[in-house]
Amino acid sequence: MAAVAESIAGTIPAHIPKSLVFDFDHFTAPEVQKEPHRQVSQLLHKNAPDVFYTPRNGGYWIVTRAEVAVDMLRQVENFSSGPEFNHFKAFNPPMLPVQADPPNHTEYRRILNPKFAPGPIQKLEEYVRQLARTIIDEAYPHGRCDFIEEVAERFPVTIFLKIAGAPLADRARLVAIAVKYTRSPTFEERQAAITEMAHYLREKFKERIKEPKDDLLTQIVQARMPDRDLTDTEKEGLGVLLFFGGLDTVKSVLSFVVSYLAQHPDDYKKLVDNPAMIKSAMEELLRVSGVSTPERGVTHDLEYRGIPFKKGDRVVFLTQLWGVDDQQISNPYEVDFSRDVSQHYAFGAGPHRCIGSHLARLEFRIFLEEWTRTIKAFRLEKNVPVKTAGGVVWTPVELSLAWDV
Amino acid sequence: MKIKVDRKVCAGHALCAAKAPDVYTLDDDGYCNSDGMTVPPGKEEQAIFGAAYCPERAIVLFDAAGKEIR
Repeated sequence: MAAVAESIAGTIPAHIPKSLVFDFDHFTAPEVQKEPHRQVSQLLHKNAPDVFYTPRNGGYWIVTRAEVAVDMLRQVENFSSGPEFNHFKAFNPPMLPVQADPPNHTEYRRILNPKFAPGPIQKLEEYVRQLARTIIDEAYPHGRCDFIEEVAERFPVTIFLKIAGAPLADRARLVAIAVKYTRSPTFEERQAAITEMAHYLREKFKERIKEPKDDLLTQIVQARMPDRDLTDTEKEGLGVLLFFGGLDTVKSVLSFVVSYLAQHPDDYKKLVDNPAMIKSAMEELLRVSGVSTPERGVTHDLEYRGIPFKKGDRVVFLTQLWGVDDQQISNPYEVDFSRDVSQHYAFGAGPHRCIGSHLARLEFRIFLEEWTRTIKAFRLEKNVPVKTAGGVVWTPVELSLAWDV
Repeated sequence: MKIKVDRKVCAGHALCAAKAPDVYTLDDDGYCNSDGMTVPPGKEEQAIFGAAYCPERAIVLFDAAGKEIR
């Protein structure tokens, strides 16, 4: 049991083989605080078992390899999204559809899918482009920007709030709640964020019942299961997850992508010189910019790949590492826009694939088209490594950029 | 060339239709609905490229003799 502090070694349950214990905290490890995709994968892919147990934050399994993870995520009968099998996620309200298994999961997705399918999302292109232009044009004359605050928190969040139907004036308040959820390691803090968001949504739902609009809030208020109305708890659960997804993830991925391009001017120049390349180059950039950390709970005692899982064990999937898994891809840290197929799971896999993936792709593409059109070269303003944070969603925390005007 | 899509495995990534728009189409929910279709002549390479992008490996292609294309 190498490198596990004595103070927590005693908390490891008896069924966990010592050979599968590895001390790693995906919220606070030094490796998540700088170039996390490279640093964490170098640490874990080289030194830890493909599935290992960490005693941190209450103790859980971590899966680091893409092939193993995708296989496990398909086995919903063994590794469930239901909070009853993962006490750490027994939130009120349960977040939907993420915390449900098929067949209920399928019904929840059916409610939301038509709004997020590629067809309807494509219709947003002009609006998204106008917004990108406005934001970039505002920043450009200054020759610098604090990218996260001025762009990444504004651009995708404004779009999401428009789709959702929430007022732009609530942006800062809502982003703060989402960040509290994604960056807090304790159940209590995360539950507090969920309660706050659910409370906000309850008020909004009341408004939409009185006066329906063409937005997501109304869609949720009016949604039905095949044989019944949705309960208030279900409505709040659907809303909470959508808001957390819409308010924090694109911001984080976009910041990773731009942070990479700021530090690789040759790659950036390729996009400036050939904007038609952005659509495919983006997939390669997404491969090394995954941010999200889904979880499952074990439904019954079982052995999988020789690993003894016990009912109620918590399993955490570091999707961030799947695109840089050297068992899947050669030279994983090398971003190469000419890769034939850029296989990645930045949006997860299986039935829970990120519902916002098409919106996110549209936002990334248009943002890069407009950024390259206006800013022909840019760099990190300070010559220090970009600071990043771990957690449920990984993100750069400070990203100041500069360019010549 | 024929397309077989495992609709139970398809998770709606929609990369097939994005990478090979002349071959794959999506339903209203954004899931691939090209199961059982024949690839338009001359679009075979695009079909293979689009299938390779499927993160779920839900798409399998068969040649005229019914042999799986790898």
